[in-house]
Amino acid sequence: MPSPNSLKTLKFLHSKTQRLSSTSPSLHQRLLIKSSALHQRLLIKSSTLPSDDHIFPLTCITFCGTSNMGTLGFLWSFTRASVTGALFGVTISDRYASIVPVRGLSMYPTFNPGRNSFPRSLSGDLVLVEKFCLAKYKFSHGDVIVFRSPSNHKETLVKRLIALPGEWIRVPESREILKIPQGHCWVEGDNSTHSLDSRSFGPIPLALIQGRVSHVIWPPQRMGEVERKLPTGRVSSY
Amino acid sequence: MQREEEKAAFRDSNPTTAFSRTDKGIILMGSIRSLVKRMQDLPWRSVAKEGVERSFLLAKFLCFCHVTNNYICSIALVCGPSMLPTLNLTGDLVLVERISPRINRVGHGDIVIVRSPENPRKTITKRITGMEGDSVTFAYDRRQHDRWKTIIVPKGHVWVQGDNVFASNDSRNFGPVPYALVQGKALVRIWPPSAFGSLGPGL
Repeated sequence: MPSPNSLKTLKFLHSKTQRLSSTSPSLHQRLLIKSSALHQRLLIKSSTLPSDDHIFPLTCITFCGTSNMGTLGFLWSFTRASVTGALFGVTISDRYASIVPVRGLSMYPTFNPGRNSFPRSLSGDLVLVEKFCLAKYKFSHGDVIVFRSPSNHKETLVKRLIALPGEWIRVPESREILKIPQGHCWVEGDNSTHSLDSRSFGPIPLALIQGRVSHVIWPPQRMGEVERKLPTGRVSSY
Repeated sequence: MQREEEKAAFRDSNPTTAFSRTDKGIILMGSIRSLVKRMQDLPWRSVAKEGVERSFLLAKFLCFCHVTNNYICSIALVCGPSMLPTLNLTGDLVLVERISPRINRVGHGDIVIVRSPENPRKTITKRITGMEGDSVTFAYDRRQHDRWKTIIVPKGHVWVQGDNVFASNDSRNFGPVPYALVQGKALVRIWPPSAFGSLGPGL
């Protein structure tokens, strides 16, 4: 049998940990470690004997072997950290804001000026896309928006929002005037010669919109807010 | 005289039961002081640390829910008359998986969850009856069924229709829907339990 002295200590520690667990967590933890170490010693002692009626239902901290679990533990913690980071990143970029690169010349004076000589250049501006506007689908004329291409769901386009549902718009090429249907909008690029936009695929559903471009982040000399611009005399609300 | 002595002895033995006004004040002050001391003794740093850890855990859980809901599967409540023989009028709970639209595994006859092109905050449940490049023939006017129209579904679009042709607001009204609006494929009906089962391609 283990000595009655150690048993008494264990009992004392047990009661103390229970009392402390609500008031001071760190002390509680320290005591737990102490008591569990004692407990383990007791268990080893008592395992040589048949009677085990003195084993308390203690909440022990399990001690892992530290010698050859080092690399495995590191790998495990690394994967856990990266998965957590990915979860947070995906959620933030889905719900609040994300950073996307803009390529191509369709928004020429606003994004990617000075890349005229390299039309196929892969590097482009980095812009901040905010997604708070998606909560109520409230947009205003002249917002620069990011949306999924209606003809290819894997492509994302950046254009300027020209007309909102229920408004009439004059299409520049065909000189016709058409009404934007409910839940749709009319988008056009700033650089009308290089832009594939509503003039070719018609009004797009508002549900395709992924966010509103609020700031240019990169390159640093053009860092700043993206302003609203609107061609005059083409849109009327009745 | 003797009683006074007794009283004094009693006061000495239990000081807290001696009730003169100043004594009361001292006791009160002492208790406040001990309370303050106890507050100071509390391990504020570890309490704050634990609070931060708890809220971090909660945030992680919410993020996990968001990612599961948006990228793997979610549960949708479908009600309305438009899918009537397949899904009930009163509302069915349906398990929606979100993977197959991303990897182009949505085809003819699948029941899909689509963001409505007419109202971006609404989601509708319809059956795909035509993929891009298909030619679809449909009754142009609800009341006169001799007016038929045939169109070819443009690139990157799908044609969706409700199972209940007579009470459905679908592609016959708003035209083909961009594929990017397809949010998920309805797999299994969960509720009511009597009708539990897979919603495989029909028609």
